[in-house]
Amino acid sequence: MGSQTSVQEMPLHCRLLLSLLSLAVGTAVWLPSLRFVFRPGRDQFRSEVDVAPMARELARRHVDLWMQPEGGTADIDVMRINNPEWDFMGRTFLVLSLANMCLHEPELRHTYLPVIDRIIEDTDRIAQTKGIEYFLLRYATESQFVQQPVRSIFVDGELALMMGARRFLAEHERFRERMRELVHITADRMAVGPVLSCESYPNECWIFCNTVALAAIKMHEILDGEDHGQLLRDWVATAQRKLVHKETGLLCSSYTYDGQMLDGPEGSTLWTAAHCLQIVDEAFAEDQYRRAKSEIAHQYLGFGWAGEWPSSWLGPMDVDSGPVIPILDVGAGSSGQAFVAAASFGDTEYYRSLATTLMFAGFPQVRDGRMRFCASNQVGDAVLLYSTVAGPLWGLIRERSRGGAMR
Amino acid sequence: MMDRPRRWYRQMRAMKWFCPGSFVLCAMVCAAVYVVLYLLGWRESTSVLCGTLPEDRTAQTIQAFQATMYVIFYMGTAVVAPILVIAAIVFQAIVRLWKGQGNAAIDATVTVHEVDLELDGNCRGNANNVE
Repeated sequence: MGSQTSVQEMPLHCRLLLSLLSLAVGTAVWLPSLRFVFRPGRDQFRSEVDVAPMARELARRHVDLWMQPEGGTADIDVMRINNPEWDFMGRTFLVLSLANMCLHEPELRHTYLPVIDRIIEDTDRIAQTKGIEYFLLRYATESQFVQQPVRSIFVDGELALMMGARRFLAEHERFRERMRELVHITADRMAVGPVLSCESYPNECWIFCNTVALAAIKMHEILDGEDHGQLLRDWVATAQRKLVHKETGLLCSSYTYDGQMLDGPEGSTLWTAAHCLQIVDEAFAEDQYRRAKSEIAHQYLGFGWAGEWPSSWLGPMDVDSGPVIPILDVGAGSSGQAFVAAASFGDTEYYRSLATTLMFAGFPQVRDGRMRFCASNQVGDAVLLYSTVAGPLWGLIRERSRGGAMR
Repeated sequence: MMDRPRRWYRQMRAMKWFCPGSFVLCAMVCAAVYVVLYLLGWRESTSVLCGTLPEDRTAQTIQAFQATMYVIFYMGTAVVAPILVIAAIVFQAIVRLWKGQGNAAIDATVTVHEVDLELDGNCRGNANNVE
């Protein structure tokens, strides 16, 4: 009490100086310690050997969305208002996640295979009955696709990828036929394109969609023994020559059908593209990851995040980038996708720093053993779930690819 | 029972800014508002951070407001409040140390002065004896 009285009696300039000094000490002590409060325990969020506890909680929530009556319509409907693509991508990342979980723990197959099948059947049914527009933004119908007949590699590629992931767990006759049809259509259309790419939207080719399609083609190669090696090699060579941003060496995110760059490198595209290229051309993928890490990844005081654009190319904020916080250069879309890339390239340090930021600013919520991130949405959570379990499927593909090459 | 809140209120009003008490008060207010917003379920509204908004314009405005308030007070509680509490402890410690050193200096001055006087007296006494 005595010292409190003496503080009250101090003149303002003394108190102000002491306050500044004390606040500086407080900041210097607390900010470097903050990471220890939010950093998830080792193997709590992602484990290399099995399915981490948080991954299980995330998966439970997603399985409910699909297996309980009306379980997820509200969550998905609100997402579709903003971007119907997210509905489709949420399905893809969930299927990839569940497939990886089944490869981690084969006893999970009897629980997750019916979910996977249901998602794929539902998605394929909608794509065939309601058309590709159902999963595309409105401007898909506002002008003409260059390549005819009209198809979107966004839908074809991800649908084939889902079927491929499912077939690595157990063969499915109907999916085998449908995947073969989708891959043949995609590969044929890519092969005749000026830069070996197909459109996702009218006269808009996206690296994200084209690399996903390449991964699906690679899966088909291994599952059905067909050789698409020439197309894969030519695509990488063309991309290195024509689709790379000169200043950074990073793949641009979108371009016209004849190869004119529309958007430069974007984090919301690059990280997943590098992940998909990992099974197509490992060296090129590794190079893209390394460049992306140096251009758009950030780490500070144990926290990690990713920006949307490199400093040499600033694009507009859009539905893909999500909100970007200036000064700090935090991109919601890019940071989410960075999890996938960091996990698949074994960048444990960056992954942990991203997870620390997620636990700090993603606002996790666990109810009845089901986890979600309030600052995210269904597709965001599906991407995060995928990052927690990614590895076995790509590992299997690379292993079988090397086995095939040796034979 | 009713006296205690009144006393606290009077103490708060009498409190000056830039002192340990005001730091702790700010931290407590921030944490209290955060708890209220959490209990109101405004955490759910933070989905706007990833660009997910409801269709209705009014609902969008409400959700954006709730998310902004929630994020501000969450950051205030997780980042700023602990800094304020640490600062309050450091401030108080410096003042005590300062006060302690000040008292010790005064005590030392008094002791030296007394010794001087004593020596002075003794010297004078001796001089008188010599005379």
